Amino acid sequence: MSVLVPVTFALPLLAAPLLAGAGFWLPRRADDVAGILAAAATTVLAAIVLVRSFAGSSVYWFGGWRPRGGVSLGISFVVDPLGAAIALLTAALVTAALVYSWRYFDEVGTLFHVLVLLFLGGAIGFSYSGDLFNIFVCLELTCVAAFALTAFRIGEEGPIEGAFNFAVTNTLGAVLILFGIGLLYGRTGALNLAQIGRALEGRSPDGLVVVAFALLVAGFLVKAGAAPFHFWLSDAYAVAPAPVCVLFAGVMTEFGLFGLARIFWTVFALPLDDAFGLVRWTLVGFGILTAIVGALMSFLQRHVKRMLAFSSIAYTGIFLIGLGTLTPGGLAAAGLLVIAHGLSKGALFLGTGVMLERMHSVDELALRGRGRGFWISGLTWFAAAVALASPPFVGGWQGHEGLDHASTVLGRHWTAAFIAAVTIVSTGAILRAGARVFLGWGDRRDPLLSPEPDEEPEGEPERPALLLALPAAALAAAALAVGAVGTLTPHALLAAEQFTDTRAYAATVLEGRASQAPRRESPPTSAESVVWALVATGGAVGLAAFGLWRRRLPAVLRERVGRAVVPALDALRTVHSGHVGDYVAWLTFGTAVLGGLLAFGVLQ
Amino acid sequence: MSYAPYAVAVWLLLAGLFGIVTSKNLIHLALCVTVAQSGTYVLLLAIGYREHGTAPIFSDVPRSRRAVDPVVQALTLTDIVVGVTVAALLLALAVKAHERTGTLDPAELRELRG
Amino acid sequence: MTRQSRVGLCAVGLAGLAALLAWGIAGLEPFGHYPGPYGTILNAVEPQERHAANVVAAVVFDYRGVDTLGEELILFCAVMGLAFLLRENREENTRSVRDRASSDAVRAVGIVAVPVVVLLALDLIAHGYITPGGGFQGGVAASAGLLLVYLAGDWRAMRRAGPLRLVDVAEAGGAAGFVVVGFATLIAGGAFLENLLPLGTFGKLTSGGTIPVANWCVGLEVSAAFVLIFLEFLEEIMAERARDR
Repeated sequence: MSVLVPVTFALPLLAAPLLAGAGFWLPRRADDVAGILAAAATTVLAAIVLVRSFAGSSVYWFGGWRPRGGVSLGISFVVDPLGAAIALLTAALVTAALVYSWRYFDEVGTLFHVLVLLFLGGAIGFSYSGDLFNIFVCLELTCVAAFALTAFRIGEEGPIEGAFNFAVTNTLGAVLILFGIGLLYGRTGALNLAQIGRALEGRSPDGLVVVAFALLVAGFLVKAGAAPFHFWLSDAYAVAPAPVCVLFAGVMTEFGLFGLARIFWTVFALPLDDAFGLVRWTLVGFGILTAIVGALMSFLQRHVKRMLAFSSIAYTGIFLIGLGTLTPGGLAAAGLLVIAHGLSKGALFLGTGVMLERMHSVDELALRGRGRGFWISGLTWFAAAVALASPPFVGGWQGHEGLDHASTVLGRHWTAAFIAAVTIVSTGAILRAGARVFLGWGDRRDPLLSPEPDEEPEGEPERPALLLALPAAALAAAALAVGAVGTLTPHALLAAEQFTDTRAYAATVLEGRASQAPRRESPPTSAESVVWALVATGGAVGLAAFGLWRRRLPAVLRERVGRAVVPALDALRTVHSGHVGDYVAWLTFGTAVLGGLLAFGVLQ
Repeated sequence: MSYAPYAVAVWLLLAGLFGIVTSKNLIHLALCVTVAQSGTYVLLLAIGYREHGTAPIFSDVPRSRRAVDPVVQALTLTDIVVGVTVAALLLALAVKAHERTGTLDPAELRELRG
Repeated sequence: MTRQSRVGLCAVGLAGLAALLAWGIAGLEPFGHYPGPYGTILNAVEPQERHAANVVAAVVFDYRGVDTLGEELILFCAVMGLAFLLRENREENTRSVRDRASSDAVRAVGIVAVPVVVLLALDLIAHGYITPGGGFQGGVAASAGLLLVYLAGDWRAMRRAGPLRLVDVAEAGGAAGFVVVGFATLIAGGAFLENLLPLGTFGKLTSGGTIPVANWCVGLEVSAAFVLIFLEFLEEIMAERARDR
């Protein structure tokens, strides 16, 4: 049992209250430094844990309570490569966010650092945990820290509303998860994932198992921000400060999907073996809906942070499509996309931070041309957007390729085209915004874009320009490079194979039998993927141009297309009303639909 | 009798959800979230009950005596703390909303639209 | 969305959800027939393995100690967030506000009740692993004792009894304390949060090993957290009163 595992988890959790208690007496810069050191140390530890996890999953039993006769008495952390990778990604993004926030939140003392460190600790616990209730508790720690972080600029109305909607919807997601946990506990009398999986194995699933699965999936999809549970996401991202959005977009919604994958592959994969078909279709269906809603809404925004929020929702849809294939290949592809997306979105959100601090607005139209002098930020913006568009061997390329391959293996040839379309629309919006702000291109007015209240710029002291620009540039460069690193795909496939092997997981946890997935060769680069990647990149640029210079098209053409398309777009926009009652109504309806579909699939 | 407590748990959840959707007051809304959460407490505690079982505290009761499940009680304890903290945050946000806008009606807080 | 469409959508969803949940709970054992094995095994082995009479306390602080760690930090996190939310933009100085309880009888009851409540709370915490009670329960009761200072007395007295800075530090100390216990057992060669202290005699205050230590950390943190919540919300009201004057 490696000692590093609990230390990586507990280090930020120790640093946070110590920093809070001692913050009053520490000199001004010391708390910034202490926070960054704690986060950096955790990042290093998480990296070591990741490297070691490739040699085989390790199990750590807290309190020294080992299982007796197949019954676990304590809480275990089971570290496999995929979980370790998410923990490392979180730690790295937290460190970047803390560096960016140097002197940003001066008035609040140590509060920001404390909340972010607690966010990190909860995230690491969540990624490593092998106990169903412990996963819930760690996820709640992360989310409560997130609620508090969203409301940071509490002087304005927007953050209050955003934080409120976020907290209510997310808590209801947690309630659904708890109901699922209760049902599973009532059947199996266990909270350890491996033990529950063993207990459910062999019997065909009845109502309780299906409903528990449906509730858990619904709860995790709420946390992930999949449609129709996604409304809170655009509100929260729009009002949270930029470094906080980096964390949200990079990892927080990904936790929802990770949780879903984790409980599926440890508990439900074997009992639901016969029903894979409809479970796949349900998950992929929700993924498709999410991607469409996210992509369309992102193109209709002028509030740049809200645009990025909807783009993240679109990507959640893509991740869900990959996860929904229920194959290691799809899971690996989703994982690679998560990394590339997290880095790119991080860079883009830090870019909006620059917009707020230096250009004093996040309204795309108001910012037209104001970004002309900021050439580092402009380059970073376009680099990050290109990484998202994923031309061959750049950015999310490996993930997209893996996803195309995984879908083709299942006989679904439409996936590559669909994902290219989603990429075109959401990345096109980002390119359009970048061109308007940093190059001054495009029309001055655009009635199609949603009017949004402007965000008030923070009255911060003038922070050095490099501090603002460099973290974003670093993230964007990393995002671009990720596509070219050849060893990523085989490692991702290895991690996914280990993650999806239910029986090996149970054996490792309950009997201590070490295991390691056989090394799989990554499939050769397919020409089809290259073509779709080029189509996506070219299409994104084309759509951005359309967005900028739509007026120059012949009026007749515009009117015809407008009459067909605009009512639907307006309806979509109206649904996003900002009213928490609407959000919860959709949550209830969505859960019922999800449960109905899964029930239908399993009962077949 | 045998499934009534579970039905109560389900009822609390559904009533809480309905309350949130139809609420016109942020404080009422925060309390409806609490109601929905109490559904989970009732579910967990009902699952752990054993007929003729006593509390799992053996200071004055022989250890061989049948006791109810201690684990769900621990889970509910954790759950309640989480619920209370979220309720406190929601109420603080409601107070701030009233201070800022003078209203507690969610329909009036419509900054984040579209 | 109009109110009608919202309620309609919700009603459809609730109907579906009700049907699903009914189907799900039909698969549970009838009420009163807990199948085990987790709880049954713990009830059987805990008394001799940990010597704590209250098995629930042993589950909370020992077997599932990491959950309690997480939960303590959630409380800490939320209260810090709440304190920040409410302290921001609070311009009024509430030191001038007294808001005394009007009746002498109430004040007399308060003088007797406050020490009784606080002692009772401390007793609840102290005996938490022998009898029903524990850090959480006793902590909330202790904070109620301090609230009683305001309810039966006046605002200035409560502020003096629980100075904000001290409460902040106490809360942080309690939260950090629990994590330190974990690290201490790690450094001592065991697992994180392993119970390495001598287990003492069953039924006495010295039983349980590290359970009493964790118990008191939680008691400190919870009482400080709830005092902070009360103080912050009351400050809001007092600030409004100061403004109205």
